[in-house]
Amino acid sequence: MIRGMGKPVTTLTVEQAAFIAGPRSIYAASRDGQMRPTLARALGVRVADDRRGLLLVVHSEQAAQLLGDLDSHPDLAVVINAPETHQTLQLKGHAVRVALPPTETAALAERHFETFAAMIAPMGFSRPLVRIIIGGTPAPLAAIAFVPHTAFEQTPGPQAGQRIADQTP
Amino acid sequence: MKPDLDAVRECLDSAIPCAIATISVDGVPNVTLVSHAEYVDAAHLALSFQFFNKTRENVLCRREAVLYATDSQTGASYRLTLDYLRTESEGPLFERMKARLAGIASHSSMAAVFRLRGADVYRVREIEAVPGLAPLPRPPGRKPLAALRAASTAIASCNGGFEALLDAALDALERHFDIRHALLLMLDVGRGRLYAIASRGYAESGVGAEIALGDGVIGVAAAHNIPIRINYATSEYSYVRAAAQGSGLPPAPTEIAFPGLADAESQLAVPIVHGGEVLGALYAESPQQRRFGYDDEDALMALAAQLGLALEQAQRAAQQDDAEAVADERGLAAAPAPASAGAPLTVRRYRGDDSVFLDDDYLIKGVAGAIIWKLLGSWQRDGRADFSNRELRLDPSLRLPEIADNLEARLVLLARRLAERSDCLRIEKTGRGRFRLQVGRPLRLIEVA
Repeated sequence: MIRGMGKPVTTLTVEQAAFIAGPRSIYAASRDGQMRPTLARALGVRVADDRRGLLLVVHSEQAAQLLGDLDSHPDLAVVINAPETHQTLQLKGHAVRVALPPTETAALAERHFETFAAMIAPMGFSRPLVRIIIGGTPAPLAAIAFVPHTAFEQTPGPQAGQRIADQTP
Repeated sequence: MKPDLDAVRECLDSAIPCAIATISVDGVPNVTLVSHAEYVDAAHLALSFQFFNKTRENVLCRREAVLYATDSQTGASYRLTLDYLRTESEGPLFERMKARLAGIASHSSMAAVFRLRGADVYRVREIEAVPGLAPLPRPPGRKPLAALRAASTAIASCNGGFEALLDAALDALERHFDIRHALLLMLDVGRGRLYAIASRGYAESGVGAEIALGDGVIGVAAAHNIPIRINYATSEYSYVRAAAQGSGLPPAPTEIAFPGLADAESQLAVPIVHGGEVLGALYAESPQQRRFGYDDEDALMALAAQLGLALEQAQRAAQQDDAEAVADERGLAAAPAPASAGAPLTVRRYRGDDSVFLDDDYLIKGVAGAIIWKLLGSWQRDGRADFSNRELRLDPSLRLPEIADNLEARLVLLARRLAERSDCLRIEKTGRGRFRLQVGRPLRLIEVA
């Protein structure tokens, strides 16, 4: 799936891959030529079979600046958070925009929405609200191929520094 | 256009945590979630600094960050471009965030690990509404400004003096803000303690319960002259839970239980201020999470400011009445107290803290204890039942502070404690600066050193 990205230096563990598949709350951050950051929500995710990369789906309008940044600077950071447990993983690496059939990005986003909405319904979030937060107006979705180089456990507390793998059932 | 954080501040109070992006010295983006973002004013916010991490390193280096904030009611999302200004590790903002964070930490099972090191203050340079989102309309709710107007009018219309103002304020909170559990406390400056003087919504009124300055949301609000608002239950700031967990020792006999909710999730305490001095505090709580928002906090601050002015005026008017009542004072001594019958009531007064017990039941201590002891002594010795506020003010044994003696508040406290705790003692107002002691049983007064 992820080609033309150079040799990945990180292979995600099975547990990390499972954690990312979640569903999770996911943000991606990039930077422009003046070292200014921006960030956007990812509306869908898929971990590559070889666990060396992720495919992220973003809204083309919501993430316009991030997508523009990636055209000239491949640096990307992605944070993946489990709202119900606060487990958090950050991945840093390189990313590039890829062209995928709209049906494929839409399917990824829809699956993400359905699983995420079901997960956080007990926390009081309605489906229409979740549709706003991790959806958006009808607009083309964009796909980003991301190869992580480094992974950081970011869950605050005693478990900080441990690998996500140690905590994911 | 100049960014206006007021317009989007609900996002900072959101059930959805903010995300923050920064860039390292060597140009690598970093993104993580923020435990708590605090509205400071229309152009500034503060982020909680709990851990030394990459975000902090990047911010200290480049002094720039972008925050992604989402309103958990509407889904509206914003990117806020921030310039780091400074870190505050003490003072009002720090205390406010510390209390907020304690609630968040408890809610997210992070109580043991969330310790606020500082409040990182940022200027909001730019606010961008994230495009490609169609937020939901905000659910219909109370209109805080309309509620404030109605409550403010109720206080302005109250002409019954100090005590009536207390009730008017609590009635207005319930009627116009649907605040069902509330407490009014006055500050005893000399002892550094707040005492409850009126309440609503509790099985026991808790009048006379005390809180030390700096203790819990009420104590911190009064000590720092700031509103303190917590959205989720935290044992660190819960008076009732703290008391239940306690030290294992029985409570002191002179302690009146704080009347608060055992299951309070939301707490809001605002200082009552006049002339720059904290007079007391107004406290509201609810078993519902996130019950009070920024608008409620604004409204209650405005209401408390008005109440502070009104209470101060009522106090001054009472003092003026006292001065005018001086001509009649001689007549007071002549008024014979009616005889009382029945089993004698033993009243003990402990001189050390002026605590007074009716038989074995604790009544009150401090200035209010000294007042009732003086009244009962006069009744017993001289057969007096009618008294003036002025003679209390002039009596050095009561140890009233010369300035801001708060006599009105202490008489309200005493009258309410008597009504709750005694079947035979009452004090009631009989005119401007006058009140009458009613004694329904013979007295046996014992002073304990």
